[in-house]
Amino acid sequence: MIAFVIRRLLTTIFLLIVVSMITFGIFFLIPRLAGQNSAELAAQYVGRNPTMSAILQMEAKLGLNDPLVVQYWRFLKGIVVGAHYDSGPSQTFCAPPCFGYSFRTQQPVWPQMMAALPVTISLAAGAALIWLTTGVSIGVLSALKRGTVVDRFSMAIALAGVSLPIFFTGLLSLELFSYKWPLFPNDQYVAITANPLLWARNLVLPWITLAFLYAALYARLTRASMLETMSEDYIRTARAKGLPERTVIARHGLRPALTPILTIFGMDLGLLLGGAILTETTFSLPGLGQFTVLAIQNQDFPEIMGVVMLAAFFIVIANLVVDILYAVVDPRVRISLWPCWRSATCTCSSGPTTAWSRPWTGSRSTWSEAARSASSVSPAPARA
Amino acid sequence: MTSLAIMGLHQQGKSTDITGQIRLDDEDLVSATPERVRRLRGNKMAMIFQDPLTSLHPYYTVGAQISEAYRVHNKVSKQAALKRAVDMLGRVGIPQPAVRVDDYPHQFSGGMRQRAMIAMALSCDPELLIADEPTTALDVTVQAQILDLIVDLQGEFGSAVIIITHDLGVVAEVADEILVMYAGREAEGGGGEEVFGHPRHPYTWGLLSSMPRLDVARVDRLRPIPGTPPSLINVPPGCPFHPRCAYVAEVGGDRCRTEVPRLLESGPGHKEACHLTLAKKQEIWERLSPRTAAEAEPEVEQGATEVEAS
Repeated sequence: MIAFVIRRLLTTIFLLIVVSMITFGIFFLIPRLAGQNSAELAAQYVGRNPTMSAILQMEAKLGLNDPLVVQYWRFLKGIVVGAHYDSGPSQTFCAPPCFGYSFRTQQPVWPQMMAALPVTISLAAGAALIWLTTGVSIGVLSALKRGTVVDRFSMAIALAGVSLPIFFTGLLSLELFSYKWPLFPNDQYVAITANPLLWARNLVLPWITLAFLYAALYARLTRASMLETMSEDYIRTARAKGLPERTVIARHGLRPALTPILTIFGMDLGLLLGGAILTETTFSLPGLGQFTVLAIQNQDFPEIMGVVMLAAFFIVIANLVVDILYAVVDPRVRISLWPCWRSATCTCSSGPTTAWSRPWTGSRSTWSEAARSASSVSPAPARA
Repeated sequence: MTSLAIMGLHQQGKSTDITGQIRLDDEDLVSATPERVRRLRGNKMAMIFQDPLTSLHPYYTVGAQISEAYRVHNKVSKQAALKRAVDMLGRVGIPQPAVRVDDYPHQFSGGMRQRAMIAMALSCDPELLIADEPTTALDVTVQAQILDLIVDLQGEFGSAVIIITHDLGVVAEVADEILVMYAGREAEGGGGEEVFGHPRHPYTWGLLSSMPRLDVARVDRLRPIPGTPPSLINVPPGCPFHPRCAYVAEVGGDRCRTEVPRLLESGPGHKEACHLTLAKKQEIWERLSPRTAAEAEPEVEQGATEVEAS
C-alpha cells in the first residue's frame, strides 16, 4: 500500500512537471516560434506606452534573453525555492511558490491566489456537500422506484438541472431570492473566520446553484449505476439468502453502485477547486475562477501560468486521493497493492500487478466501468 | 431426500414464473406473503446459481457472506456465525478453511467459489436445495467434483435437491427423478432409468439424439431438434412442442395443434404429456435409439464405402 502511494506520488510529480512544460511552452516557446523577439515579450511586462530603456531593463530583469531551457529551469526553481529579481539598485525576492509578479497589480502571484483560494474552497466544499447528499439519494430513490412517478419526476428535474446553464439558474435565483425577496442578499464575500453566519448566508445561493447542476448529474449517474448493480448476480444471491430488502440495498447494492460516483466526485472537486468560473462570475465571488477570468482578460501571463499550475495540481491530487480511496473501497484493487506475503493465498505474484489491469479477476472491471460512466456524463469544466 | 433434475435446452421454461402451486412442507409458497417467503429463503430452501464468479459479492470476504446467510435466520453472535462459516467451508472441501474464510471471492478459483456458494446455501441446513445449472460455468474436471460434492452433502445434510440443467451428463450423474420441461410445461417425468432408457416424449428423444455418446459408435451426424425454442409469451397452442415435432402426422387429425396433452402415467412412475399412443412411442424409440457399438459396426463400414464410391 505504501509502495503504491509512493509510486502514485512520483507519477503525480511527473505529471505536474509535464503540465508546467506545456504551460511554459505556450507562453514562452510559441511566441518565439511565431516570430516575436525577447524585446517584444518584455514589452508586455512593462505596461502601456513603454520606453525602450524600460523594455530593455525588464528584458534583463526577467532574463528573457537567455536560452529557453535556462528560463524554464528558472521558472521551476522559482516555484520550488523562490526567485531573486535583480533590477539595478533594488533587489526583490519572490517567496517560494513563485510564479512571478502580476502585470495588473505588480504583486507576486502566489499570495493573490492564496487569498482567492478560501473563497473557491468554501464554494466548492459547500456545494459538494449539497450535491452529494441530494444527488445520490435522489438517484438511489429513482433507481429503486424505477418507472414510477417519483422516478420520472426526479429525472425530469435532473434533466433540467443538467441542461440549464449556471448563468441562467444563478441569475434566476439572484433575481428571486436577492432582489424580489431579499432572503439572501448578494453581499460581499465574508470569510468564515470573520463571521461564519454571514459567510454561510452569502454563499447559500451560489451553493444551491452550483449544486443543482452537479446534483442533477449525480442523480442520473447514481440511478444508472444503482440499476446496473441491482441486476447483478450477487444481489440475487443476497435475496436468495433471505436477507430483508433493506439490507440487500444498503449493504450489497449501495457500495458497489457508489464506487464509480467516487471517481467522478474526485475529478469534479479537483476541477472546481481550480475555480468555478461561471458561478463565481455570476455571484461576484472573489475566488480563483474570477481570478482566472481577470488574468485572461488582462493577458496577465504570470497569473495565468500560476492559476493553470494550481488547477492542474488540484486535479492531479484529487486523482491521487481517488485512487487511494478506491483501494480502500474495492478489495479487488486493494489486494494487489499489498505485499504478497500477507496471506498464503495470494494470487498476484505474477502478471500485471493491479486488479484493474486484470479485468478477468472480477466480474467486471470497476475501472473501465467508472471510465465508461465518466465519459457518458462528462461534466465540462466550463459548465461550473 | 431425493434429487430431482429438471431438464430442457436453453431457457425453455426452466427458470420462469409458475402459476399454480408450489408446496414446501405443505405450505403453499405462491399464496404466502413475501415476508414469509423471505424467511423461508436461505433457511428452509436455499439456492446455488449458475455463475459462481458473479454470484458472490466482490466487496465482502467469503466468510462474511456465509456468516451473513447464517445470521439472518439464526440468532447468533458474529463470532459464532463465522465459526459456522469456517466449519461449512471445511465441509465443502476448502483447504485451510480458517485462513480462507478471510479471503475475498476473487482470491478463489471458480470451483472454490462454487464450493463457497454451496457452503453458504447449506449453512442453514435447508430442507430443499435448488441448484440452477451449478456446473455450467466450470471446467469439466471441476464439474465432476462439484457434482460429487452435491451428492455427498445431500447424503450428509439430508436435503432434497432440485437440479435445473440442460446437461444430460449432470442429470444422469445425480438425479433420482427426472422432469423434462418444454416451454414451461412438463413434457416427461420419471425415474432416471426410465426416462433415459425408455423415453416416451418426442422432445426427450430429440434431447437424447442430439447428445454425443462415447459408448455408441458414431453412425451418422447428431440429430438436432429442428426449429427454435418458442417464445414463452406466445406459447404455441395445443402441444407446445408440435411445431418442432416430427410425429404430428402419426397422431392424426388436429389434436397436436389444438389439444394440450395432459401429463398421464404410462408406466410405473413414468409420466409424459404426448398424444401418441404408448405402442407408437415404444416403436418410434426402438427405431431412434442409438445402437451399441457391436450392433452398429457393419453399417459403419457400409457407410464408409459409400463415401468412397461417391
